[in-house]
Amino acid sequence: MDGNKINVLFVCGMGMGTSTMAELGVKNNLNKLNIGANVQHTSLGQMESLRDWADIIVILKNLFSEITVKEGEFIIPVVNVMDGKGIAAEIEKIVDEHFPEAKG
Amino acid sequence: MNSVISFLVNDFLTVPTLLIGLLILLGYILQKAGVVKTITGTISAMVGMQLIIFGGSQFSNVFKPITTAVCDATGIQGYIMDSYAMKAASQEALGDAFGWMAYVFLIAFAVNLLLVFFGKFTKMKGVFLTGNAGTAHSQAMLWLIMANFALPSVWTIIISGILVGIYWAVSTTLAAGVVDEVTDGGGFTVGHNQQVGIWLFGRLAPKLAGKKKVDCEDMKLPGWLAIFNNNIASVAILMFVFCGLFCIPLGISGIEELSGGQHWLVYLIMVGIQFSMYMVILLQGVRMLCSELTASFQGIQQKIVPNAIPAIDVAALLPFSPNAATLGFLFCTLGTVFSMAILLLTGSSMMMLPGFTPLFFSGGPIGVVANKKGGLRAVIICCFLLGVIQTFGTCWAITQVHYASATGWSGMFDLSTVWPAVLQVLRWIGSLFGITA
Repeated sequence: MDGNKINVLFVCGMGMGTSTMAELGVKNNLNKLNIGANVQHTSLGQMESLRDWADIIVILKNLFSEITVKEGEFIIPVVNVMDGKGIAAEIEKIVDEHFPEAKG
Repeated sequence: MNSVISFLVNDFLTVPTLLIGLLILLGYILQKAGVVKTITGTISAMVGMQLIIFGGSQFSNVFKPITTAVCDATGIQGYIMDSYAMKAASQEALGDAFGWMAYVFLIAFAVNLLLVFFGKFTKMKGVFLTGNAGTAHSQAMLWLIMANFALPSVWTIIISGILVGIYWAVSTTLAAGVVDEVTDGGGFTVGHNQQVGIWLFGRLAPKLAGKKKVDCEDMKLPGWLAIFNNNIASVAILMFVFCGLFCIPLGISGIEELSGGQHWLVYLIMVGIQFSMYMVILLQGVRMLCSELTASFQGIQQKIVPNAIPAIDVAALLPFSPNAATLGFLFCTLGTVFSMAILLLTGSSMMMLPGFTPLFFSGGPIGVVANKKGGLRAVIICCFLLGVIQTFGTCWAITQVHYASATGWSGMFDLSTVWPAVLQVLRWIGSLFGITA
């Protein structure tokens, strides 16, 4: 958390194209849901360095099997990165339960 | 006044980073982004650009002594097949003209939008939004046109932009059908470096299905293959292995001469690690330069052609079929290694060393498409064939850049088939007018 905002990290293979598209779509939809969020994107190989920063990690499903989910970590595996609405809805569920202060 | 113009034209705008910075600044001002965002965004894009230049030149510097030594010993010139090797080589070849790629990019995007805007007549639907691949296309096309045609610089830029724009519109529209099928109506098409390949193998795969179609997703793959999903590890391992193999003709003494006395194995391990490090620097630079670019281009697309299909990075296909992606990578690698053996056995003066990008981001997605349309058998045949086509196609493309010391070329499907073919045709046309260089 950063003030009243949750930190959401998007992870794809190279941390450029695909995670950027997911980030854009989700950010728009989180705004519509009134959820304050900071977003960043990175590659699987560079993910560890941002892992502590992130409250929620959104990762391509094909990369999901390679990470061990730590206690208290929220990870959303994604099939369609263009489904900003669906991903934002999953984030909303986590926010409602664990980070209610992020909803304004 | 003249001295101001002279400063701008001769000093300021000949530095690629400053030219790009100026264009980004204009973009922010046009978007009315606010003072803070305008200044921070512009400077961070310029730092990103500088990281790209630095990472690219260092990437080349790791490889140059190796390829020079092997060339001296055997007469074989080595090239890396990877998008990042192409970035490194083209920005080195372009020098001060590197910044022009921003003009090419803007013209290409405008041409793409125009073709889709008049989609009723042109049938074009896809709009290319992948900033990282788009900048690479812009600089590569600029490089090709400059190397092959003696034209005034304004025309070089305009022609490069038009060609890239047409490629974006046509290739993304071609791939749209099969991508829609693979993603069950995912609402996007692919805008990367292998859309024509996706279309082609999407048509070929059903014919290769065989009697019993086996879905790759029903298989259990060995867990260690997952190592190759990690870009940092994958680059280091692949470059260690292929550079190591490439150095065999030097012998241990030759490698240790190259390393300045360092143990040969330590040297080769460090070569792999360094390639990976410079790729991380390049990635960081591209991320700083392109993230905002993607956002604003998507905004423009939604405003001008809201019904267009957004064409996005190919990795978006991989989650739809993770096993097929891994198998696609594997068989594309086998096809590539097979082709390298053919190059060696036929005494070719060129050797191709595959990088991470063409194996993983062509092999993977084509694997996903082939699996959907034809199952395991199609994945094996298509991806092996893909590796072969990419390797020999890159040999073809390398002969067109007229730059013997180039670190490499993309090695992705479209850039080793469609691109060199179009250039070949343009050269024939150009020779009629006497403008080929």
